[in-house]
Amino acid sequence: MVQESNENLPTSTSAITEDEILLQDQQMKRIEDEQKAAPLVGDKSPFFTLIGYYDEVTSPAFFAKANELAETYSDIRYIRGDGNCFYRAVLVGLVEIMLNDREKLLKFIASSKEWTDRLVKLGFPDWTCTDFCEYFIEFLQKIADGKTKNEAVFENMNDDNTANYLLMFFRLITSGYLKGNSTEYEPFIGEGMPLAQYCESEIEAMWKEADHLAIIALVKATNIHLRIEYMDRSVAPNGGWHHNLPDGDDATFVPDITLLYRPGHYDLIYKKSVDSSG
Amino acid sequence: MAGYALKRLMTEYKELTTRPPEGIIAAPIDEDNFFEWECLITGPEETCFANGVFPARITFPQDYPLSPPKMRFTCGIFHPNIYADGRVCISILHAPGDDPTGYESSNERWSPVQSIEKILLSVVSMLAEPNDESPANVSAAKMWREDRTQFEKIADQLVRKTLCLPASEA
Repeated sequence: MVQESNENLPTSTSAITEDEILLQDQQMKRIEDEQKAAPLVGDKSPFFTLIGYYDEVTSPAFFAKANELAETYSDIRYIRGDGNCFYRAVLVGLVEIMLNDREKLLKFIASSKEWTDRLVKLGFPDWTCTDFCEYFIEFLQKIADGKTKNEAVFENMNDDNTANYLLMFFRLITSGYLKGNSTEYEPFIGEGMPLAQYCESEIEAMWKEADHLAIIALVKATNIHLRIEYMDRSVAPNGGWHHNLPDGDDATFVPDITLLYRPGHYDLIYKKSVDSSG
Repeated sequence: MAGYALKRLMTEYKELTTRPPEGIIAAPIDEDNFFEWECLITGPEETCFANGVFPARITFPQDYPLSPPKMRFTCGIFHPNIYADGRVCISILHAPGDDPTGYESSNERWSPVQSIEKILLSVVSMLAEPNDESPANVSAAKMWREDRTQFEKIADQLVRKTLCLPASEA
């Protein structure tokens, strides 16, 4: 009996050793380095480059889906997977639209100014919050005034600090939209967490991934039509391959921005131009 | 690279000097380096830390305010939420998901719209109300829970020390 007792001793699963912590740190560092090796926002690449990531034999479903999407989409812009990818993809998509459409640019500047006031009224900390708003508005204003050329815009969106300052504006209006419509959205937050707390810890903090609620909120806050194509249909809210936001019938829905969802990650994708797709 | 951080830190410095929160002084140690601050925190009234003036250092990362700063008391304070080396362990100094002790899930986390002032105010409430679940200083937490008199005695000695008063007897 006595000699068997060793088997019943608690194993060291609860106590993490220093070696394990060191190993975890090294792994985290490696993942971080890998992330940082990729640009925040890649150049537009041909969509078929995506097919190359999947093996026909080992991941047949993704391989098939990538091929199928390649019939509709011509280009893809890879976004860095750093937890900000959803917000960053929408930011880049919107800026691209505004670079080509002055009217939309001016309209978005106006609505960004409205958002600044709204956020303060919603009780966001006054100047720390408006700092990000003003920075974003100034960025757009410089484009409107012709002071920032297209090339420089993409340089800005690839510079860690500038890009993340711009991105914070999107996180703030996402949070602001939910806080401004809390009665409607609070029931969707799990574990009885208050909406304000959810917003502060899940949305306003950098490097936190967007969940479905954040996606809806940003779409409503920016007033865009967004389509998300899912590589993995099991996560699509409607069980299908793509999802339109706000909900819209495929026949009439014209997306401003289309994102590709692969488990845990969003990239920006572009439809083939009208003359080549019929 | 650090231009945005610097601009923000200068604004915060200005805010803190024009509208200082009660009992708190905070400023860069050297005006050539805005990333290293020193602060003095007065112990909250009606607590065992009352009247003490506790010095601490705040170190800001290059990507502040996207990432939170670090704070360390330099006066050897004995407290459940302060490591033996002086590092402060409270929720607002951690980004979400980065939770070394696991008890902080329901508390306020760092986000870029927080500020130095918010951190300092949280530190004052931490002094007033230690959180003794999964503490940074286990023996301080144990004493806080089981031998409050002794805990208060140690705090009182530190208060006297920070005020350059002679140690009390007993």
